[in-house]
Amino acid sequence: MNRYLEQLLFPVLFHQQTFDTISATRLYQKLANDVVFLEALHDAVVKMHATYSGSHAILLRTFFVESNLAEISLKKLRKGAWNEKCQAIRDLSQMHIDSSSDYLLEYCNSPNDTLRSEALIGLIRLKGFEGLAVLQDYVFDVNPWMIINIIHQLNLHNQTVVPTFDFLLKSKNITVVMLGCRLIEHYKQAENLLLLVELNQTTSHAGLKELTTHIVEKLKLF
Amino acid sequence: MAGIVLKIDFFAFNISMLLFAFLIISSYIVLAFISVHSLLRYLKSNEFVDYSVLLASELAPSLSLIAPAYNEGLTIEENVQSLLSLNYNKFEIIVVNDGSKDNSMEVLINAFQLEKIDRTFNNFIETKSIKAVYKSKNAAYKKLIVVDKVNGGKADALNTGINVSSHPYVVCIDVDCILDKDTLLKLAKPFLEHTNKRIIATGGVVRIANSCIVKRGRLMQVNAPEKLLPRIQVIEYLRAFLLGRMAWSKLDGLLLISGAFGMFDREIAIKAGGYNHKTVGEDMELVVRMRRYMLEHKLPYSVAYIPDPLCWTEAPESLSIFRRQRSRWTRGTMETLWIHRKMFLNPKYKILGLLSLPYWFVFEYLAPIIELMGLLVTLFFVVWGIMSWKFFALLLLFVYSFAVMFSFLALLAEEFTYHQYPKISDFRKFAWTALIEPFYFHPFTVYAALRGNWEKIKGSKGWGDMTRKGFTKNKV
Repeated sequence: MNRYLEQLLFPVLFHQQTFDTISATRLYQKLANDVVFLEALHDAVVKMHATYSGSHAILLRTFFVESNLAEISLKKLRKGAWNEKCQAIRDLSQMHIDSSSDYLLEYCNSPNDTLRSEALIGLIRLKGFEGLAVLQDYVFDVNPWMIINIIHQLNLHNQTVVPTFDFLLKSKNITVVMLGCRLIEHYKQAENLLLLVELNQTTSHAGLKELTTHIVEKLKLF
Repeated sequence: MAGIVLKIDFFAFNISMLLFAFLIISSYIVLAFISVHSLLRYLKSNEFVDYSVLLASELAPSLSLIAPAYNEGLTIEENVQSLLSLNYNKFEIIVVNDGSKDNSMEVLINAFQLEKIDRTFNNFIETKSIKAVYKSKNAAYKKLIVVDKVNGGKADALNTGINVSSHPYVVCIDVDCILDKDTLLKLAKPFLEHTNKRIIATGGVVRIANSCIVKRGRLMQVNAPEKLLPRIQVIEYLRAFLLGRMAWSKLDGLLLISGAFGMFDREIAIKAGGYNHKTVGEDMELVVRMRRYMLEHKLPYSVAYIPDPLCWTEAPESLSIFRRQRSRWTRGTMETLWIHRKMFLNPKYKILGLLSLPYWFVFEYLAPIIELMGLLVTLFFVVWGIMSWKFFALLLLFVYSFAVMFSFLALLAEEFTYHQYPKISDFRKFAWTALIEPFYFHPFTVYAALRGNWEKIKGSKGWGDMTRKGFTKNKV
């Protein structure tokens, strides 16, 4: 199986061959209807994509869409068990499949906590800062583990224009406010200093008070 | 008349034995069912966890790894090197030399280029006096702190480490245990997962490393122990950790985090009074006391448990050392249950008072005593010639079959989850070991537990000699 996968994918990666060329090969035509093979091809493309960047990654993403492999993940995203949905979220967001975002938005409110957090992180992986918009009316807790993952995903995005996170400070959900504080701290947004001071003075939540005090002191140093 | 009374007694004995057997067996089944369910759920969820994000994050909790050492001169350098190479960024290692009589301090000073420092810290928990605190001149060992103190026992050494620690979480380990490289990442994660309750402690599975291949403090190859006694203990640990504690964790009634390896919220550990050096079961006692503190102060909390095989330790290979270990465990259980007797069946302490402690009392502490009583009454019936051999044989067959099946369930749970023993020959060894365990190992553990009771009555307080063979022989 590995030999077949290499024969099909290496030309995509190293000779810029498109899906049209690959699909015309005898090998692909022989295996195209084999479900097990297609699953293996799907997994191989996703795995390869994780190890390549730049133009190689773009070639793999294009192949993933044109070969309809994305449909395998989308099907799992729609109908799979919760753990299959989580895997599909991971695969689709890594492969930048924008059409999955509606499902991710839906699963951000799932009662299953693993699926919910995977959807939120997947959305941020897919959309970067734009994905944070879902948190505006978010009712579930964003725990410190999720905060660490969200910041990690945003770092990977490497977006140069960083928006202001003051909208998160206005949330009624204290854990979302804390995420906002952590993002302000991470991106050293001193322009939000006054908002943080105000928050510090008005909040009755001990954890938030402690956090804002710490961040205000840290931001004053910049 | 005497015959009728004897017959009634015989009937009552049979019924009470059956009732006890039924209760203990059904509790094992229920716990195993909950454990397997939680284990599978954990493994499924864990597929999506990327622990490496913690490595790069500034928000990862800072922690102090406390390793008490007493006469560990032969292996301490290698053990500390192995601790220094753990995957985690925000941690310090505090090796507490508990007044070793060997050359442990000399080895540490030379190997890690230590020099005395003035480190100020609060004496939150009273301990034996500290002779000196050392740090390395070499930046490569900047995470290492060595505390040289007057001998006071393991609990005292751990309390010293807690006092010296400058981080909000402490990981207490045995210096000679072998930790997986990602242990700290996995222990730290549960502390970050809750917003509405405080995680006060995390514990994990302890596995047995006898006959495994160890290189520079790292586990290179897992093998089934060559000797029978440690091999039986592998099965026993699998039963306890995979089919028992996982369920107690799910029920939020976990009483014990193994002394070989656990992570604690330092503030709560201090507020609860630290390790109790008056008991030999200080690991269990601390968890119970921390939980009691949280319940009495009406603070929402939980104790987390990680089923991954993160810590490997050496099990006793000789019957005499094994007997001493088990007697000490019994004394530790007795002492903890006695210290916290106020919680027993007290609804104020929720599941801890209503279920965990009574369970430990009946099925952990009393079980060997009930078994002894059963044996004596059986002998009495034999002598008086009123023994129902048919009933006896059926009961024996039933109990034996259940014990073996339960061991096989634990082995299968291991095979289908972590699969740490990849060789078929190892699985075969475990299979036949499970068949003979009820005849060889179980009676001895009952004897050791009864000796523990006797030693407690006599007023014995020590740990007893716990000589370890070390992993030297298996190194590659």
